[in-house]
Amino acid sequence: MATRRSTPTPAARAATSAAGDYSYPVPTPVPAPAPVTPGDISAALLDLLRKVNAETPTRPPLEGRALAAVANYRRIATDLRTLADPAPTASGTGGLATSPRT
Amino acid sequence: MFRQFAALVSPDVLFKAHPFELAWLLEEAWRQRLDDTSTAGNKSIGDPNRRSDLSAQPPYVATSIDNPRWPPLSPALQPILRQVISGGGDDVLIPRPFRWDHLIYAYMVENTRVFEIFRRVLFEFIHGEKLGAPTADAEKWLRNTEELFFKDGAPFFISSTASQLRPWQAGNWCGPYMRMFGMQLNHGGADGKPYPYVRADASNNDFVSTFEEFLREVWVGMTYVGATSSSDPTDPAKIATLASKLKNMLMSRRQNGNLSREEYSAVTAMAWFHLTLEFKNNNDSAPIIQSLRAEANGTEQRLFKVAERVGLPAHGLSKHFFDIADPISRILIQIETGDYDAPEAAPALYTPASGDNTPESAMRRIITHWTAITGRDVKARKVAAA
Repeated sequence: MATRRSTPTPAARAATSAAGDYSYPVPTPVPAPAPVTPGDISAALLDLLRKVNAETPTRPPLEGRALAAVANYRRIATDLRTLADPAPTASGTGGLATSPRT
Repeated sequence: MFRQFAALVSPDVLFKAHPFELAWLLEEAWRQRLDDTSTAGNKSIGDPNRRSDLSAQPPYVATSIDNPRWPPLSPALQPILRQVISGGGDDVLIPRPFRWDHLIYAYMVENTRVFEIFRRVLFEFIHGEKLGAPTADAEKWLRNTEELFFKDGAPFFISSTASQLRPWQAGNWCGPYMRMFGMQLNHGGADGKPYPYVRADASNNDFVSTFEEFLREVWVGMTYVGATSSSDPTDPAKIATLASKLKNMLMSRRQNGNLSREEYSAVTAMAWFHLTLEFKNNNDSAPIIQSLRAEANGTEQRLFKVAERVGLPAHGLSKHFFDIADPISRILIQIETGDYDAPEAAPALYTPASGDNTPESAMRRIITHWTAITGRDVKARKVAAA
């Protein structure tokens, strides 16, 4: 028949502790960090954002023949403008085929 | 063509005009077509900026647009032919130059079955009162439609293509469609049989496969246009090669202005019916739509209702056909100009640019609707056989 181990009495526990069996090293005190000011946080965030932006892909700008192709497409679309297309802007030529003959 | 006219005058004015005015208007638009004959331009006949060398009727009108005796146009229609200021910065008045849509526009719109459906509408109104009596304005629309598109046409007019050698018949434009795109219409006549037409020996049978490859490569470019942390499989050189191949096959059919009259005839007819359904683009309805009580929200929904009235179903994907017609027409015209023959120009097809009306937005619409129409997903990557 199994027997339960008896719970140590407070007196026995105190005796064991006094013997040094359960002692832990006393941690060395760490100096508290200097208080962070709002200005420091902003600077850190700005630095982080700058790094992220440097890695963000930027859409390659259209130039040269690609840019000319966009302009030519718009000219064709203007020539063929219908009621389904956006209304011409006040500054634009607008309307049907107002581009001159070339 | 009529949809472009409607951007200049109210569609009501067009629908109520005399058929002779409309026929004459088409003649004048042909006369005032873009015609780049400059040596610097070096355009061959058939080029988008020089479609044909055929003359319109004698130019009674060239310098006398405000002459009350000629041309035979009512004042309400005359703004269409008014002179415009040259964009060259010299404030010179020039006749308004006209451009018409690419034949692919007519092909896409006709695939909705709109031509057959309205033919049935005319048939019913002419031969009985199954659809009721047309309203007064619808009477004018019916007369114009019959005069312009269901008759042989007046002699000498550029858009009158019917003759003893090619009598008018439904599916008149199947030949040009096959020659240019290697594609037939997705429907036949009301009896369900394919339209009869003469098959030419020379036709662009590679058009569809080349165009789909072109769309696929442009989609790859759109997918990777902003990528920096992956490899970029975009191939501008291949896009340019495919565009050049498309240009060469299309322009081969257009040598010396070949097929330009047929194209003009087809796009004006389809634009008339498209405009009838689209009308003012503000949910207002054309007279014939009101007469048929086919008012609805959206171009394709009006077509469905008209089709229901006459018992001839429209194509279920009509919205996609209507929506792809404009961008694919403009892109093919531009491809024919040779703008995309160089790899340096290819980024314009897949790189967003500021403002409206960009090739990139047109390509996105084409890819979306082409996928829906054909059932072939051009966004899917090709799988190489092991």
